[in-house]
Amino acid sequence: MGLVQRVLEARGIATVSLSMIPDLTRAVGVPRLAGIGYPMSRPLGRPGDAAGQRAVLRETLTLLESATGPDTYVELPFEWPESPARARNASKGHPPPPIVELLRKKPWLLADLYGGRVPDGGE
Amino acid sequence: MAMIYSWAVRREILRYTPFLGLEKPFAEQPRTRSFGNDEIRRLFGALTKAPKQIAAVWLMQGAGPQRELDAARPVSRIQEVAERARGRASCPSSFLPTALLNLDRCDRRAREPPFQLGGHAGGRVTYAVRRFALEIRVCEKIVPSAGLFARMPMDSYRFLDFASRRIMKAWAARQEHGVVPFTRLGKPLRECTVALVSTAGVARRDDRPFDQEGERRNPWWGDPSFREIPLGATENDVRIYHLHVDPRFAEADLDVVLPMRRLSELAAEGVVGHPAPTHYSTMGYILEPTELLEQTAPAIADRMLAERIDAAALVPA
Repeated sequence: MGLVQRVLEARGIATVSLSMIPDLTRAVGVPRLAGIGYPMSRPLGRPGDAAGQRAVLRETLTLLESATGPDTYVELPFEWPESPARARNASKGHPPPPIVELLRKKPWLLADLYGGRVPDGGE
Repeated sequence: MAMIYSWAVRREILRYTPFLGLEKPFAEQPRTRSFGNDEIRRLFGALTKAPKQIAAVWLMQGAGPQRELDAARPVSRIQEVAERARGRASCPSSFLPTALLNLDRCDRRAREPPFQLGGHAGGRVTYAVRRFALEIRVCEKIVPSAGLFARMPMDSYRFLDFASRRIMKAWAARQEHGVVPFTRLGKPLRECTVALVSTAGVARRDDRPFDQEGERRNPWWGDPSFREIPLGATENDVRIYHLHVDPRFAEADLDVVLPMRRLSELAAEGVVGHPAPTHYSTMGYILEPTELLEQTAPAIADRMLAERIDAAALVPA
């Protein structure tokens, strides 16, 4: 996401990112970033919570105007109402992504993922 | 207080400390008296009546009983007061769960102190500062700007499982970015046309799906293409093609990942000028970003510029 943001910004479009893992997004080097302590799959908030979603979007967009230079980072003051364990539990029944299944079968490949060595074509 | 301001400057939360160059008015003495349960309760009870700034400053100055620093049960003490205050109509109800949530977070952080203070009996001082951070979070609920003074840094990895946490940290540590681009907003936000980009793998039902079979065949690969989503499309018009995301939330309410309705509402409120006629989605699991960088992102930029977009917000999943 941060990589796309950099390209858009370089082409003259002012951009802002929302991120649940602001550490990672910030490490990519982005112009404006709003960090939020929400769980994966739900960046704007809970389904149906229009007021909460609007507040998150409003705060994120505000950065477009308030930032005066690159690497502007703001942590949004919103709290997720559940504990991390409970938030993860909500996705319990969902099947794991293919890379997780692969690593279960071939755990030694975890070192490649950890080290950022992506094999090209096939496994 | 001076110590805490210096800490905030070191963490780049503040730019300057107001204590710079100030002499201490008198030699420091350990506090001999602190608030009892009853006083704390009265403070909580008064929050809706008294000028809130005063209460906030009071809290910031460390109203917490110092003897609790020695006790093994400071958390239960606050909880007890909070529980009791919960029954009072005069107590702002929204602040109590947050206070407890933050206590939980502070408590967990006790294992890895977020900052170091030299000289003093380390653990105690660290606890006091952590406690201070808690109080600031409480203040923030009362006076939003109190957060400007100090805030616990956000834990980016809080919602991830153990393995993902380690992988994300390793990837973050390896990133090397050169110059960060910056484009100043050309006009006031309330006049801007704004587009959204979601990395949730959103595609119209009548459009080509993101290639999930390809990723199943080679789990190191992710579809680096993008899709256009017209303004006004709802969860009934799209599908989520992202194997690393639980699609049920966005399928119940598309605004959870691509807030087009919220953007239109903000335009109606006058926060932004107009929602763009077209929004975009990519699929965020891309370990090898060459095609994303060289083809997808420039193509999105071309289309945004063709639609005279002033600004874009990117939303992960």
